[in-house]
Amino acid sequence: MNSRILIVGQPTEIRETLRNALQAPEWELREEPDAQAALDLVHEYSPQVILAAVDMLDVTSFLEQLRSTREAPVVVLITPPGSRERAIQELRAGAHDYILMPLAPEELRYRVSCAVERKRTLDAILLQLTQAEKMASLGRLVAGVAHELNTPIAAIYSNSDVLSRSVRRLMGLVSDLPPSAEKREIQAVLEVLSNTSEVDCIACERVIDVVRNLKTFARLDEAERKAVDIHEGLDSTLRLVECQFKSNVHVSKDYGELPPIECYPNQLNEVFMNLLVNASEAIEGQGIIKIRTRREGDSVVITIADTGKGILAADLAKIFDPGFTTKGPGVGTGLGLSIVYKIIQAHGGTIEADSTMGKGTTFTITLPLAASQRATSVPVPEPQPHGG
Amino acid sequence: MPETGTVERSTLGSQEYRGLVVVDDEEIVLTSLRSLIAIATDCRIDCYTEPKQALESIRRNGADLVIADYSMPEMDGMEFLSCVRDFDPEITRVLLTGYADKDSAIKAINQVALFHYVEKPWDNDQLLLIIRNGLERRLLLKQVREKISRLDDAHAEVKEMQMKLLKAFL
Repeated sequence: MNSRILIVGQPTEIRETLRNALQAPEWELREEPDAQAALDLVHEYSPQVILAAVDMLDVTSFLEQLRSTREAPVVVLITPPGSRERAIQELRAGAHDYILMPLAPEELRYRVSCAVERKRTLDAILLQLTQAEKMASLGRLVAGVAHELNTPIAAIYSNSDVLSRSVRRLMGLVSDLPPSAEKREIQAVLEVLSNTSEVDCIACERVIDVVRNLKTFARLDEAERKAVDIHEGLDSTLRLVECQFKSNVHVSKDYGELPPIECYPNQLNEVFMNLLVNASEAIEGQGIIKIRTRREGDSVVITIADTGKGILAADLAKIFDPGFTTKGPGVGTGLGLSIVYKIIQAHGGTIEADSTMGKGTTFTITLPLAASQRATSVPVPEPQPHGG
Repeated sequence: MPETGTVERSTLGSQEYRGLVVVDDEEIVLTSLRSLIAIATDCRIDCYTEPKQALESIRRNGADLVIADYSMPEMDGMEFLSCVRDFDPEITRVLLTGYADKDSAIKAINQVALFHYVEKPWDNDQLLLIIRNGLERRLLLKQVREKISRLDDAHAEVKEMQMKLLKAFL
């Protein structure tokens, strides 16, 4: 991906020097002599980095206005000789870096790539924060909805069973009657009732399943946190879901040496289950699901890779969003991966997805080994822990 | 032919048998349970939306098994069941709740010596089984108490005889 760089500054010769030094395919350059016009351009061009050779008098207000933009690009000041003191002050005002003139192309390129890297990191952190915030507010919403749905569905579910029992009772009573036209009619009506209540029962079970998912999502049932062998969890989950796999799906395991990990095992199993089922569903012809575990420093890295159809680049950014699904109506609730995301987050870990169309998708989970002090439960405030 | 989970009154075999009391602030839950009990069992069932009224009724008429919803506005299920326990510990206590989390389940079982913890939405077959077992527990407790009291009586009788014998010989 190209990095967009905006060069701002009156002096033509400085802009030219910068332009010449930064000729590289990975850098896309735009120039704007006027600081005010540059601010307008930020919205349209959304540069990652601004190289500002603006008059030092304007820099503070320029930085201030930039900070309030949505794009908030990283600013590197191009500073005239002898104004190091001022430049350092501007760093406090929000500039990322400064480069003293005369410019050395090698240094310039290095500093600019550092600035680009910083912007990337900032964007990633911001994205994670927004994601976390979204999940937290959604958690509250979902807890409320699940709570409201629970009692009515409980009543309907019970009633549909009572209806079945009543119909069975009536059928028994009617069957003892002598044959007649009325008897046949009553039996036909009872048959209709029986079929209807059977459908009601199945429909209820589906709603209950969704509500249960919502509850899991909102509160992540608080089973005990304990140190377990991740491989046991992977294997047991695999056994559970393997029966759903088509015969064209093969599983290959590559387990490393792992110490026991402090976690909520049932939650991690839910993560594995989601990822494994998704992986098997992505495979259309012959395919392999590769499960790999490694210890890397203070973390454990678990990758689940499939050789399936892959995820569109445009979808990849959204797969952890609640409600996002590609499975079509009636198939997925779209909560699977957002639950996965939340569980991993609650464990102080990260999850990333990488995908190539036609080649497959790889999910990489990183869990800290020493997470015992963190996140004893998911930090979502509950309106009411129990439902009536 | 009895259906699965049927609670036959005859299996309880006691003339003093009183029945179920259910408390939930939601009328729809009470209606559902009333219908279930009517179609699948021979039990008598009294339903209340107000825990206080339910307590009054239990104090007046007694009960064999009590089912209470956890979250109710005036008095929660735990408080209600602990009142029931104070009145008569032999009454079987069942808690109905919208969220099953282990902590509150453990708390409920320990605090009010709960017989069972049922999550909403419940499965009727399972609930009927719990009711049957709960009533059986109640009956067994009652029988044990009766046996003990009969033993006590017999013991007292033996003692009296012994006294009489001693007196006769002295």
